[in-house]
Amino acid sequence: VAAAAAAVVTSRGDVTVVCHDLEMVEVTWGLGPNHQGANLSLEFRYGTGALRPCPQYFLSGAGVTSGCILPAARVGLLELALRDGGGAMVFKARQRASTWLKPSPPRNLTLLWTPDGDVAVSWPAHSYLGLDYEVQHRENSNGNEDAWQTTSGPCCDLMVGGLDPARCYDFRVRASPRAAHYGLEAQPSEWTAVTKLSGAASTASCTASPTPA
Amino acid sequence: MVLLRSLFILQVLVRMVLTYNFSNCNFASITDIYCNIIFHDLTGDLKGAKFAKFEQIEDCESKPACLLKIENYTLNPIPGCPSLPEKIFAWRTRAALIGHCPGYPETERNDGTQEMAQEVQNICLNQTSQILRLWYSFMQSPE
Repeated sequence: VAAAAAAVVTSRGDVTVVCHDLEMVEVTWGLGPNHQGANLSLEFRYGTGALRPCPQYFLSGAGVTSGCILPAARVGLLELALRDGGGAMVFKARQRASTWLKPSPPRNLTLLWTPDGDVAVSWPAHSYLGLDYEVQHRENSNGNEDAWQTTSGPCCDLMVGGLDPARCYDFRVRASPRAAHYGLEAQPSEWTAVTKLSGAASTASCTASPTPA
Repeated sequence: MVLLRSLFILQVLVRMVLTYNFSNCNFASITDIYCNIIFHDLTGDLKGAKFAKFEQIEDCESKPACLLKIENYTLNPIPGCPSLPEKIFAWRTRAALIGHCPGYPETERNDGTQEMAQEVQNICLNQTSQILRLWYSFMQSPE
């Protein structure tokens, strides 16, 4: 659940905020020594309306709160107020929800050999702008995996050249929020599952390879 | 001294009446300048500062509305940070607006009064953080 890259460190311990795909905001706490055993409660609001209680808490095994899921709005400032049992403020923030953006991985990756021997990689767009995409590939013939090589570009396709049509390759993609668009606290999506690309001429040599996560 | 103060107040009042309309700006050109230059100026100024601690004061929901607020925060000196309009990102913001917003006034701004002379680093960092986050809203907003 914890995503260290987006951790906002306060003097009272670590609170992590992640905005999943501009759809929901996940706030987690209780991982540091300062919060253990304390039952924290979260209130939030967009803009200057009334503070609302967390609509859905995560509870730890001991029955104390360890996080909250709340809806994400695309505009307006999200104010978060995390308090301990005595009402003292443990963590406070006021930013756009997108400050903590973590996109979902692209859903359907398409790979196509071109007549020139390049590979055209394409994927569907997200429903919002400001993302770059990282495409990684490696040769993977008969289970011998090379190191990943990375190519980056905007939505929604790019060309990877210099591949051998007689060999087999693994591909994966992730979406990466642009720093100038969302800020430095946003983080890339998870990688897509590996998609295998058979050589343009033959498919038989790829099938023996394992499927890495 | 009193005359200077009166002139400053008069200038502020005139500005409030004659607020420039940013809807005719070339947003694509301003976006390029922000992404390639001003963004790096702003993050450079904030380097080392834990600017997540500064809560955002204002948001905006369209590119013209965001430019209006960016201009206001960037080019008007505030108590505690009189040097803000003289920083390199502010000069470049002004140049971008002059270059890509037809009819944007090129007049010089007041440099700040004596009461503003004391510079407080945390106030400058907070204001810089506010400006950077307004640029994020500009980037995420429709025209």
